[in-house]
Amino acid sequence: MQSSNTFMVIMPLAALFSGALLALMIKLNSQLALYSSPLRASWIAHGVGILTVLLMLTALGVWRRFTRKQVVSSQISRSLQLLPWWAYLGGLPGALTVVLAAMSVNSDLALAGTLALMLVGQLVFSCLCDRLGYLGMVKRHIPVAEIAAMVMISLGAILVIFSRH
Amino acid sequence: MALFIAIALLNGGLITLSRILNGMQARRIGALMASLCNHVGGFVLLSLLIYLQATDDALIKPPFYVYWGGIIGAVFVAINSWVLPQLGAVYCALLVICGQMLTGVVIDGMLHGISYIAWFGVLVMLAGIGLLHLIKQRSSS
Repeated sequence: MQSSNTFMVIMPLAALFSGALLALMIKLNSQLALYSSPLRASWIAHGVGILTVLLMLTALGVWRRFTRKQVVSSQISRSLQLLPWWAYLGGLPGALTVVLAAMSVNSDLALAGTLALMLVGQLVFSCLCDRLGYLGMVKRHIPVAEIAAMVMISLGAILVIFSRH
Repeated sequence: MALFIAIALLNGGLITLSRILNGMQARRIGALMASLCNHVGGFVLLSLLIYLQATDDALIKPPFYVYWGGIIGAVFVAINSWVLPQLGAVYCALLVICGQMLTGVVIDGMLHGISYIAWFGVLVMLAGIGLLHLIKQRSSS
């Protein structure tokens, strides 16, 4: 169980930070796309990503050996059994995103409209999963105040999007 | 037009689907393995799509720094997969959106300056995060 401090401070900050990384990533990948195509750019970014994670995993393995922290192998195989096979397919919808985004950006929606609608779709599907406990999420009631916060953040984000594009 | 609106909305749903599946993996096999699976899966699918598309979009020598997008992406997926199952899909998505938009405003602000509309948007978002934090504080105590 996570301590409440981890939940209240570290995790939200990590999530905010990952959002900052996402902004940088999108900026760089869209620049890469200018040199070829969105599809090819995403393909390259995924390839570079594979190499990066392999490097990080190697570093982690060396670190574990160094600190003699052994992971119990029976624990790993039990974890693998608990994970349904389709959970490994998370990369597929993520990669498809590039293709669908290219389609709607080229329509009358343009970039700003596409980004705004993707944001809404993201939140609607998140609400569904949280509320109904789909895909392993903890089923919970979403309070009205949280919906208010969601509307504020979406409106703020949409203002920012349309001011930029 | 309605078709493209549907496509864009569905696309947002796909982003969430991808992140939740990666989060499921992170809980069982670790965030780095989740990021690896995500990138291998995506790479295979994109290879297939590029093969089927069969158009010539050969790379015109880009500056080296643009490859950082892939490195940053690998770290992003790992962090996001780690926090999402703990925070829940909605809370996590809202925080990521805020981090993303605020960084975007800062980057653009350095290049072109920040418009009044963007400032207003940032204020509304910050108020939203404040409210969100209050809700979570109350519900956890």
